[in-house]
Amino acid sequence: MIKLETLAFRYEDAENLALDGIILSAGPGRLVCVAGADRSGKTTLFRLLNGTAPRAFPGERSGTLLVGGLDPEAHGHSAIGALVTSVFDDPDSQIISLTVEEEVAFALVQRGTDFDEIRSRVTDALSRVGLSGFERRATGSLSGGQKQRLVMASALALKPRILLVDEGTSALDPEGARHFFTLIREMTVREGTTAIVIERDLELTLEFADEILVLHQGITAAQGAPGVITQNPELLKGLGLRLPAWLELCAELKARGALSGEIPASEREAIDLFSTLATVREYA
Amino acid sequence: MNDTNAAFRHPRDMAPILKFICMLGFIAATYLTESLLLIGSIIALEALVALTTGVFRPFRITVVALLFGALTLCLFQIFTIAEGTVVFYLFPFWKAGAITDVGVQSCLVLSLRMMASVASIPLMLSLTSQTQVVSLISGDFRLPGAYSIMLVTALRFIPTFGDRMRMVLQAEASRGYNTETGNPIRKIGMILRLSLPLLISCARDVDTLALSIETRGFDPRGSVRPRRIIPKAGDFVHLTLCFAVLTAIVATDKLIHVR
Amino acid sequence: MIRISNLRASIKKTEILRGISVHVKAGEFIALVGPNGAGKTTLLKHLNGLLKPTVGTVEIAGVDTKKSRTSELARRVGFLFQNPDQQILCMTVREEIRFGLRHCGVPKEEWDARIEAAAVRTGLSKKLDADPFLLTRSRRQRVALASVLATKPEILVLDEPTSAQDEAETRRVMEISRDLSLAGKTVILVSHDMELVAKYAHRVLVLIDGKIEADCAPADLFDNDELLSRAALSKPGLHRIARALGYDGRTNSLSIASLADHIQSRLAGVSS
Repeated sequence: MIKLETLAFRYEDAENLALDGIILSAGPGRLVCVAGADRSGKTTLFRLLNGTAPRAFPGERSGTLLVGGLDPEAHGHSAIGALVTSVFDDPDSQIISLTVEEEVAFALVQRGTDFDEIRSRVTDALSRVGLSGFERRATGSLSGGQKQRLVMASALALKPRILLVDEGTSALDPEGARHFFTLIREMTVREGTTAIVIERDLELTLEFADEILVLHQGITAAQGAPGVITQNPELLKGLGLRLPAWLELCAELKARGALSGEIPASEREAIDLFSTLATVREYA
Repeated sequence: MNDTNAAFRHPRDMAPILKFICMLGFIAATYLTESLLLIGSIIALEALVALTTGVFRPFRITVVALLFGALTLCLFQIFTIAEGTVVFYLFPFWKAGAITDVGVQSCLVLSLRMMASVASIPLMLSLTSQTQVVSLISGDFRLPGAYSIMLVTALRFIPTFGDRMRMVLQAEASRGYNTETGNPIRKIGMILRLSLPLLISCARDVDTLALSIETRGFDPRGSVRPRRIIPKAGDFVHLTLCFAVLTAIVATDKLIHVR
Repeated sequence: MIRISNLRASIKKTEILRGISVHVKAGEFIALVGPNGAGKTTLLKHLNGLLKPTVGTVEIAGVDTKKSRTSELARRVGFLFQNPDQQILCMTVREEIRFGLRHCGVPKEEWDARIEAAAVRTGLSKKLDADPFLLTRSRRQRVALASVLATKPEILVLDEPTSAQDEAETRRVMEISRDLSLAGKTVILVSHDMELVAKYAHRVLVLIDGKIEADCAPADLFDNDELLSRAALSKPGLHRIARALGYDGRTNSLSIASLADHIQSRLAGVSS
């Protein structure tokens, strides 16, 4: 579905490469998370994947980039748009409609979808994001979290083959963020969607992703399944990422020589490991 | 949401092309009518439509706003018409500023016509969902999608300017900028100054919005168009009713003037 | 420093705050938490007079907010909005910081020193002549923060300051806030991030449906599963782990190092 080989990009008039040597291959049903501090190249990758760079963000690209078998630079944005749905980070600047149901229906209307089909997809999408009953609500009256869910509903309604999300959880509370990722996971499982999600929250990333790509100043600093990424927590910390508590604890124990072998890939595994290492009865 | 297969309930569900034709009918009727009372009855008919379809509040706001425009038009008209019998002078001592009966009649007709014809446009838009507007412009009229997007974006963002300005005012008040002033000159200067963050935030949003709608399939040069919303049988009943009433009004007006 | 008595507030005939009474002393670092729609931002806006109480009073250092303008209260209350773009309006960072100083009535001779100090504190010393609108979002947030810090408010109010920030920026904002608190200023933080609340706040106010459901230490909140659930909050990771490992003591001094100490001290074998 998505294939990147030694992908590099330099913005016009920029001295340095925004991305360099990125390699990634993601088939149907894969959930890949992209992590990294500010200015690591995450958003540049997002723009290249949905074809907005270099079209709207001029620059020079090199290497291979195939999205659904198509090169975004060679094909028009409508060809890519038919395959790829993008969710940007600020919901306010994506919402074009006056009411919730029309926002979800917008893209379907533009694509000439039959109205019966539109109605059914809108109802389904709103129910999946927990906005049933909000159909006639004015989009301007929604809270930040509701707007973000609305934007997600718009993406769900399209049943995309490829979903790109740029920090879609920033306005959500922890429960909402978890639900957001659960929805994406559902899409990958139910519809075989390939999802590339840019996300700051390493905890959710480690929990949900099949593969994680960690960028640092445009290059790949770490890449692999969660179980691979967690083996070097010091590196992740050094890249400016916030580690979940269980990973910090593992890193601390490993630094003290109290933990040898592989570091767990999830909180559950970590707790099981700690339980076998020690039983904590009393803490003073 | 309105669609081709929704059961007909009330004019809100009328196919947008027929709503557009009704709107043209209202506009045509105002210009075919000379009598003040009958032009007033067209406005009353619009108000009745607004009341029965639940959009009376925005309609009322539109009419009040148009009243100010009408007043301005009236003043302009009244001073430029010299025919007829002088009713009074604005400056009686110098016998200047003559207001004639023809001038008064003419200004009232012009103002009411303006109100009746212009009010029909926002009335139609309030009864037409965005989806229907897009379908009308791109589906029925086969105009480039850019036009529908422009209209839709305007309808979506113009109401938010007030909210955004309020947020900016709050932010600056929180930094010590005194936004509470009775001085109108100062108020204007303040708003102009604070327009900068407002415009910049709008410009940023517009960029992202454009990319967002493009990545959602909007393609002004593409061959795929939004579907037309096909009128149903019930829509034609309402259309006929609307035109029957308007025709009756125009006919009555003609009869009055023939006599 | 802040005294709220029986505060009730309505917006468009809907009651948002339903009888809130809170007393906050100088130097306290308070986290205001709760689900979306609970009224947190509404409560914050009462602290600098952006909103006035329908019933009850809000006093800032003895001054009733109903009798003061927001622009006057701004000298005491520094407000950092979630979106920095709402407040940036000058053409350079320096002017932006100066804007607040001018309107808060700070004497002109102090401006340069305060601008410099605020820029150093927020890491903007090299960007004073830059156009804030061309900076990245996180830097714009720093500009907004610098502008607030320069006026040396008694109370700093932060509305979700870290929601779109990376770890380095988050740490910067929180460390600055902690330093202010240690210097005797009051900090009120609204955040969904319980890790930050656990690390920095002295006290938590849990707001649900317009009422304060709990006013306690962070550790007490994290020990209360029912309240966490009602407030749509999650326990910080460390507390979850401690709980899962059967910890039954106080969690108020829990840290990575201390939990690691304890696990290490109980080790029977080291292989995983």
